[in-house]
Amino acid sequence: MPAFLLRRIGSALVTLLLMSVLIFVMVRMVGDPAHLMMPPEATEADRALFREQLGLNDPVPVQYARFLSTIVRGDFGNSFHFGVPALSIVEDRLGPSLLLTLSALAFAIFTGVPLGIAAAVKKDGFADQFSKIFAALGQAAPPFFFALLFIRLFSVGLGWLPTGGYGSWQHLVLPVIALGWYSAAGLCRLTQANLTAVLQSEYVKMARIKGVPEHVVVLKHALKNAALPVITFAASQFGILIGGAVSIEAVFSWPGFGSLMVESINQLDFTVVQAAVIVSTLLFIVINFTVDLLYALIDPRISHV
Amino acid sequence: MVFSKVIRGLLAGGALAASLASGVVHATTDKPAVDRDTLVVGVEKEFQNLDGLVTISGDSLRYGWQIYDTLYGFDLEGKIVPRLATSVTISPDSKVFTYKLRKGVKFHNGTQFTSKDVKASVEHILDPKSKSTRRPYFAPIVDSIETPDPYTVTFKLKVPDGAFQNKVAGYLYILPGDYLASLANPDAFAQAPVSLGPYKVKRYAPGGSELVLERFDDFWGEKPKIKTLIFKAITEPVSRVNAILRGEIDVAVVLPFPDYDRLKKEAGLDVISSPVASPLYIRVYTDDPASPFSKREVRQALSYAIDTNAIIKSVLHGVGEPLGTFISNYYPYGAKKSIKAYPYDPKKARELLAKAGYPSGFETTLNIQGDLPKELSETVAAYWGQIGVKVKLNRLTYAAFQRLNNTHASGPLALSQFTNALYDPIHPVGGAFSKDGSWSNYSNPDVEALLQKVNSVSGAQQRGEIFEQVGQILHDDAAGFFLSEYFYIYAKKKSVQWDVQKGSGFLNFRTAGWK
Amino acid sequence: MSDAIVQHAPSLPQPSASALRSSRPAWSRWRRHWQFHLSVAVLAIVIFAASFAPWLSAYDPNGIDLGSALQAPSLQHWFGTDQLGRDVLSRTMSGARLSLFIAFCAVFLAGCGGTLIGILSAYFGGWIDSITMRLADIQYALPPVILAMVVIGVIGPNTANVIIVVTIANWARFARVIRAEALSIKHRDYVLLARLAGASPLRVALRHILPNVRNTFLVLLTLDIGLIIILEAALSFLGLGVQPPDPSWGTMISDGRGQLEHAWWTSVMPGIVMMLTVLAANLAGDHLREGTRLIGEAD
Repeated sequence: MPAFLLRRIGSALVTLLLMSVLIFVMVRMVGDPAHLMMPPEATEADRALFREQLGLNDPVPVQYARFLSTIVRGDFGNSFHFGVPALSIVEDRLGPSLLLTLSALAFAIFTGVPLGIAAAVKKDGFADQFSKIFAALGQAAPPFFFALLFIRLFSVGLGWLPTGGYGSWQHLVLPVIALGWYSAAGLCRLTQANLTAVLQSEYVKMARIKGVPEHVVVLKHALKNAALPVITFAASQFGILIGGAVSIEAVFSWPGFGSLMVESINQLDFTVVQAAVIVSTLLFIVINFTVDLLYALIDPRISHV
Repeated sequence: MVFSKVIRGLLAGGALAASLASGVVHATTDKPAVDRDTLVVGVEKEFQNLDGLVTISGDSLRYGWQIYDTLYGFDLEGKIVPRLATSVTISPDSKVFTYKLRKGVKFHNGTQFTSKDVKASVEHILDPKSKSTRRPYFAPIVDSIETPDPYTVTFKLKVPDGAFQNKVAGYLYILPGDYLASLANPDAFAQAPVSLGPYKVKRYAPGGSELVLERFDDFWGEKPKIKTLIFKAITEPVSRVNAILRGEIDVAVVLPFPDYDRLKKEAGLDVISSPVASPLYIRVYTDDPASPFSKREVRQALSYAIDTNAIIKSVLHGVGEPLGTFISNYYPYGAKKSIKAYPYDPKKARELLAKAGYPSGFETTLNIQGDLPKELSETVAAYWGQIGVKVKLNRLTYAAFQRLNNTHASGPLALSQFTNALYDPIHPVGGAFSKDGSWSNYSNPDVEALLQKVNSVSGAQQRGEIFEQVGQILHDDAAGFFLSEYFYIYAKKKSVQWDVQKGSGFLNFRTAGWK
Repeated sequence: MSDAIVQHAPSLPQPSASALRSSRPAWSRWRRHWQFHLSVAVLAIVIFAASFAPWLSAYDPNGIDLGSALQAPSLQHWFGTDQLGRDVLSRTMSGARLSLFIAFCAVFLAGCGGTLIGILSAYFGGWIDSITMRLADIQYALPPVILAMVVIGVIGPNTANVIIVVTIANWARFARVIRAEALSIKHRDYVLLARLAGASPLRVALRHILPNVRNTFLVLLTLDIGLIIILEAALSFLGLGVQPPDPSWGTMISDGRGQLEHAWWTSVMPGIVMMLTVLAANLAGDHLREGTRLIGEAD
């Protein structure tokens, strides 16, 4: 066990390091903040002075070395535009992103799984038909398109819900559905396929022959077997949703991680972009590790790490 | 089976949408979003840095006149009026400016305002460590600042600057010197700004998505009626429109052009289109002798080829006005209103083009940046395509566009606008049409001579006369392609009493209130 | 722009062989399944319309006619006109052309690249495998939006760059799945024999492993095409994809979003067409996957 843990931590560190180099270099290739922030009247000398203050005049490897030495202390530098520590800006946006992600995941689980179960239990029934449409639509439509339609119908048209922003549970409804429908669709199909397969297995047939009531068959035997892929799928979606449902955040003015990354790179706020991407990568790694751990725990037969 | 259900579902959804589209009647609520002591304003971008002397002007012009104050300021029409200073004496050569300061003015933290605060503010701008974006405006011209007594401050300039008053009014917010000195580093000022404007900062939401200001009861001037000003950043334009329609905000700024007509029909809203004295124009690089744009006939031809009236009517949805030259008609001085835009005459355009040696047109590139409506460039490209000039559109981010402009690499054509910050045409004209202008690839000896002259002249009357001549030359020389005056669209609830600042993007809530 | 949809294809589990009767009746039932045929038909229509758009459209997709702006769908303009008077149907077809072209190129490049990387990674193992998997992790963790902005910032905005961005944002999925398959194939007898016989690694990869992952590769391609279409649309929606005046589905939806209240057709029409295309691609992909599995078991 410890060996596998060490290996995982090792590879996580390598990934983080690689990503930090990548984003550090990439973001400097996008543009020069001095040109953006200084007014047109500035001379090249003015801009050079500005760059000096931001530490951008040194060669990139020197800047990177300096960067590495400070992030071990948790200091990602100050945002160029806001003047406050970049990490604090990232932290502020993490909350809303987590809220949106977890809510979307909850929506996906509590909509997709029951639908999938109902569809599997009664083939060609109403639930089966409905789940097919639900899943098909969810996987075919881009979330931003849904977002626009939802706002048009439910917010502007019917006036039930606010058009955007962050603050109350009403602000959460439309973004969650727009974001979570895709995952709900996937979960629905996954649950249905798994449950269908298990329900036709020899094991379950035996239980039926033995006279176990149907609902016990479904709930006890079948669900247990279907649970594993569902859990891993749900957990894997988490890592992706947090990464930035950028178009949803844009349309709903949701102060999340994704729009932070877009804004900060648009403004060439290097420190914030670096902090955001590294934190997001770290989250990704943690989620992946948790998924693998869950997998190994739930099904000890699998020893793939 | 699935498919037919899907189709039916889609059609039903479409019908629902269509019925909602046609049948919705809005009655925007006229009640305050919070209460009669509070005003909620929806702005288009987050607030970044509350240090008015450091942050980019696009950021500060929203809160600047609320939190800060200046020695002289601009009234509603852009005329320069005394604020923290009661009088100014300008030397005949426009190199020495002496201000007499108002007595009894208090900062938000209770300290008294004296001349040393003016000096400290300028030093804050000039200090490289503060990373002030205003530095290029003051560093080349300010030689020294003297404070002979607590209520007199004298600026001695290195070179004559007839627009120095405008710079003082537009850029020089006053910060408290002692407070500044007490901070560990200049960056800390933005965390807890202190100044002497009618409002002080109550709360700044992380990321700048919300800014709450509270009335400063010891303000030296007329106290504002509104006690609490709440600024909400709603970046998505559609959401901003929806927010004002639903009454979630009391005032909305910078609304998209396509919504103008629709908003005007709303019973509970006042919709104001206000010029920001900024020309929407296509900058053209005329300094390359090999390029067709170095020939005046070519530039004139292309000017005749655009139907600006049609563009204003459809692309800008009527929110614009034709411009004949680079100086907006909404400057308090300097604009010659008799200069008219080139009329739409494609036949003459083709003739001129042939005369210039391009009978079958040519190919060129137009650089555009994301903030301006891209339909504008698509339409211009279509008009020029009709006379044989094939235009490739090159869409850049704002950052990339700035960089190319600054490094004179955005040619041969760049769709731009030049925001007014000073209420004096020197800023845009000097920047875009003088030989050494930072965003200029045009040079004309007549213009240069006039600009030299205007630098040593102060006073609206005299400067205005010179600029009118400049404007005429720029028109006759077709120095750029002037599409329209740039307007901002504002919307407010009918019961809100608020006057929009004319001729610039500055937001002024000092006299706002509820009817 | 790492929306949930763009990073992870929900892979349905493969039920055990005994769960489904792998006999001729299932195979012929599958072939007669009308959903598959309908999906293929829809795709064929869209691809046909996209390919021959310049000849099929009644109007120039970039033809500006300010006088007839924002007209509702009618007999002259089946999908209505946009804010500059351009025919929305023509633009949708033209957009289909660009969106599908980008999607096909990207999915093909990502697929081939990812497959090759997956095979080589599985074959060589060791630190090559580790580094590849770390790079795959990075691809998952790096938001496509950031990648798009960097690419645009460096080489400028044009269609080729969109293909590059979408390709780089999608190879890891192929690499991972193919690698898993290749790992299991690696230990099969014929591969071991080939290696014993002295075949070079490349030869082993191309002649023995590659043909056996072909089915998976094809299924992944069809399953992914939908995701890639949506990713391109999302990038264009944010202004990071196709540049004006060329239309793509994403830019059309984005341009029309200010008009949703009174001119919904400018956004909704391209959106519906896009949805139908992705829907058809997904259904076709699903049925292809079912079919190949059934064929595999019927052998």
